[in-house]
Amino acid sequence: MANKPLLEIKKLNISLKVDDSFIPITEDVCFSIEPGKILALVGESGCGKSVTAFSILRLLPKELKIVKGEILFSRRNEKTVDIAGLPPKGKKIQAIRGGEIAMIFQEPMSSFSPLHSIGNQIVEVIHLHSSVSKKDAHNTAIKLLKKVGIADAKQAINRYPNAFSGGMRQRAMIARALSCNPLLLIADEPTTALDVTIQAQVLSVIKDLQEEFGMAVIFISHNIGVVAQMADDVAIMYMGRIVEKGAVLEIFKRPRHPYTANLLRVVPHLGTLEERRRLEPIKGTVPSLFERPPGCPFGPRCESFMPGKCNIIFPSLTQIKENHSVYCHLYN
Amino acid sequence: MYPILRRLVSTLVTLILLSMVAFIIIELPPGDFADMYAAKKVASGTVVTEDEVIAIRIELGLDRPPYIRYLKWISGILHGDLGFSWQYRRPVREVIGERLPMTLVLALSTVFFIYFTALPLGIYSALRQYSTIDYTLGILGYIGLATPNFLLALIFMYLGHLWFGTSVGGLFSIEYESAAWSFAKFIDLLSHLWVPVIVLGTAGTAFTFRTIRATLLDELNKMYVTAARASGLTEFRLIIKYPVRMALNPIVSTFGWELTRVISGAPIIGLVMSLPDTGPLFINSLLNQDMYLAGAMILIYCVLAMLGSFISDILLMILDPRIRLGEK
Amino acid sequence: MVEKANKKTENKVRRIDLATSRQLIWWSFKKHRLAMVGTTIIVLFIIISIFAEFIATTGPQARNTLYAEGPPTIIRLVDESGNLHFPFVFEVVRKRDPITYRSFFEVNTAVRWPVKLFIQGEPYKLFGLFPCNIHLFGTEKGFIHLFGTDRIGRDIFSRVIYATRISLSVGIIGVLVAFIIGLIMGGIAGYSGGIVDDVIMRLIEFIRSIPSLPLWLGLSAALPREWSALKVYAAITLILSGINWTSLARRVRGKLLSLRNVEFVLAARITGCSNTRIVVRHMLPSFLSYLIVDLTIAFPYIILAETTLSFLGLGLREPIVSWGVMLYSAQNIRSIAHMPWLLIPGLFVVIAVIAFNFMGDGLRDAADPFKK
Repeated sequence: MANKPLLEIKKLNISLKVDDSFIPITEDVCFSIEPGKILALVGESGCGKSVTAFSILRLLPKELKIVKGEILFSRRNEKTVDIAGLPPKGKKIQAIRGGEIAMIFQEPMSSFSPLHSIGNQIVEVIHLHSSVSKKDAHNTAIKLLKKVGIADAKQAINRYPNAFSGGMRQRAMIARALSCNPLLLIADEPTTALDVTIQAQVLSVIKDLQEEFGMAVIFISHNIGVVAQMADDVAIMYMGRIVEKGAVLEIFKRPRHPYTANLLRVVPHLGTLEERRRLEPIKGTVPSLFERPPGCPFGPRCESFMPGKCNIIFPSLTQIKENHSVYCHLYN
Repeated sequence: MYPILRRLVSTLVTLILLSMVAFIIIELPPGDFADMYAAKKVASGTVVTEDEVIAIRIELGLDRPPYIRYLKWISGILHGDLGFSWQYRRPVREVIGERLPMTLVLALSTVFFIYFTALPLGIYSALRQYSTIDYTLGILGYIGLATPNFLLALIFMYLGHLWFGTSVGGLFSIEYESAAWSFAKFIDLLSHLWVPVIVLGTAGTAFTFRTIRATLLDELNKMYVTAARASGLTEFRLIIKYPVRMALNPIVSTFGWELTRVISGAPIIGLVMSLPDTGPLFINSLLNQDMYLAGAMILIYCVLAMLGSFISDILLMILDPRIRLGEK
Repeated sequence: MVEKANKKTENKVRRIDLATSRQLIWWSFKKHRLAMVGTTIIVLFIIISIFAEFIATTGPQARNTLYAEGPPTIIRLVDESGNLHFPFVFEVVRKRDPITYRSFFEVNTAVRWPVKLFIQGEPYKLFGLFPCNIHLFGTEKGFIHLFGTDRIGRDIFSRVIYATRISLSVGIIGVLVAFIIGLIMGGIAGYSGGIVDDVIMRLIEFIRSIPSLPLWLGLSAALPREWSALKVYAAITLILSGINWTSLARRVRGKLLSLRNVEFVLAARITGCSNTRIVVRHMLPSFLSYLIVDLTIAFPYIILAETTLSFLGLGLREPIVSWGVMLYSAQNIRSIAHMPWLLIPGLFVVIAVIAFNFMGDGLRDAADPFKK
């Protein structure tokens, strides 16, 4: 049943360079995604999920360095390339960006240049990765805008981003990302900055298009509800480490890692009087990057903390089921 | 259309106000034109009677109340009559007309120099922040801004004298000074022009350099640049198309000020380096209170400054759709 | 290794966390080494201004007829034979070239004029009150001219020292006056809003659109020739500040407008503060920092302006000596070719302007510690 993975991240270590020292941001991150699937990357703010996402397309600023690890991507021509090893300003990565892996971002308000029309910014991407005529590119852009649900696409294409609302701009961003039929779409919290009603619309656009184009999606979020709606698989991150990963239904039904369990408990429930419970926040707060606890970083806040084990070494991978694995000493 | 019209109207209104200011400046020194004229004649040995002075005064309408004099002056200007210079005993129009083209040449060349130097250097500096070149340019920029124009001119001239033994002043070598225009004369002009242009343009270059460097550094961190990079654009193309274009906004909007500054500084350079432009003319007219000449010059400077500011507004409208479409 | 590095950065971060806002500003300022250099230089200049009589070797108009148009006399420690002495200057003798009849100065290495500290010299009044005659340094025998002399034999070093006082004071007074005007105009505009605001803004736009130099030149040319140097000084200062207040006014108005509705003003209103209290205690501190930065930028501008005007002969006049007035004698190339040391006042101008710019930059970065 397991296909060859489209993207495989192997022991990715990204660190922040401060003066002469390196502060780890992600440690030994491993996960993979198959073609056509939706993987959600979940965690609190600052856990490193965005950093991981940006690193896939080598979009990190120069202070954030990939210290170790591989990002194996299976390209359209069936060849596999290690993105982590590519020169960050080279032709190969530029061909992959937009052409085979596309990305949409959190802030729709600032992801477009206000000085160029929407059409200009979409058509530009088309011309980068294919050699179609100007007219064809223009028509493709109109079709894309229609697909993402922008009314009156023919007029819209000549308008400037300022004329669009946040939700519309996000749709336009999706249109731009999809313009070259990418194999993988990375969505970095695309709905966090939007109103709740617009959120639902944009999410359904993403889902529909994913089905239609058959592309894989890595969806970053800190919102469990959204994840449950959208994703097939999920990987939970805490302080730069993956702590649990697997199929969404499986994990949500029976979370193994204490952190995951906590996360799920924190989600508010609507229900009958009996079903409703108190909100139980997770004890403590996320430590600062400089005060990383030794061993398993969740240790100090964990109810099942085992001194002598959890504060000495980070647990290795335990495969619970075929579609469920966890990093926890409880299961070692 | 409307924004352009509005700009035009406000420019005209400002010009009218400026002409009043120029007129006030003309009228400020004690004694009027008739007195000066008489004084000059007396100094050259001619006898002038009180009646003659009064006659001149009436003839030129100097005995009328101020607002009539102002209107007379303005109407004269609109008809091309800029008044009379008692220093040169010629109509102001002729005196200025001989030298104005040079001033324009100097000003425009300087403006070109400023933008052609400062923009590429500033962009390079922003992209290679903290490099040796960045630091060096930054320091040069500081010094450039801190040194008064004329001091730079003096230093250049001193060095020229020291190294080449010639005087570096003037815009033409002696042979070409009164010669008719030819290609050779043009080349000669260029070979002399670069010194005053650099001197005049230093402050503007330094300022523009710092502005575009700072703005570009700001823009480079913004999301739309990352988004463009994520689409697969090459570094060079995406930097030019997006953040640089954005960073040009403040540059374009200050084009008017730059031109004003260049025009402001031109008289001094003209004086120090003995250039055949309107600079020395203007300074001397002030020193000697040849007020029609001075007033006309002030007006011309103001017109040029307004023109520059108007052009920069138009340019900004073309460049930035937000302004064009009337964003609030 | 990573542990140790972590500890160091952790300490840095922790200290930043704990610091109060004031401390943050001081640290940021100190870190900006250039700003410290700039401020030190300015402080030095201020000290020079106050103690000008003490630091200068002679008065600003005193002439040394023995040494007119003379190059700088260099303080040495070693004589011709290589012997070490206390600081001294070689004697200079005027000679005449037998062919060109031009006079020049020859250094006589046989005679030494020792340079002494705290030497008794020409009398003066310290701070205008206390009669005194001690100078910082000088020679008992002969003379010393660190920066040479001008055409009529006046010591350039002493004149530069006195000029520092004048140039700086023009800057300070000019900025103060501009500040007051700007504060009032901007305050009225920002606080009243409406038509008053509109009119004032139009006025500011108009003034800003005039090319500055022709305007200054025009106005100062209008000053009667007969006015005393002091009157001219006052007038020039007024002219410069009268044109310069616009940027300060705009800043004040902008801040007032934006702060009028900000949350903490609302909070203050809710707790019952009166209007003046609101302005003074709540709105002022937050834009005081920007104002200070504006002031330090206005200084060099006014100093440059005065220097330019005086250089052209349209600014201050003798016997009041500013750097610009001193440069007036350097107006033509022949003087400079002959006496390049006449340009030294220009060096002081450049240093002063750069120092103010450094200081201003440092203040700006410090006033916005949250930028990083």
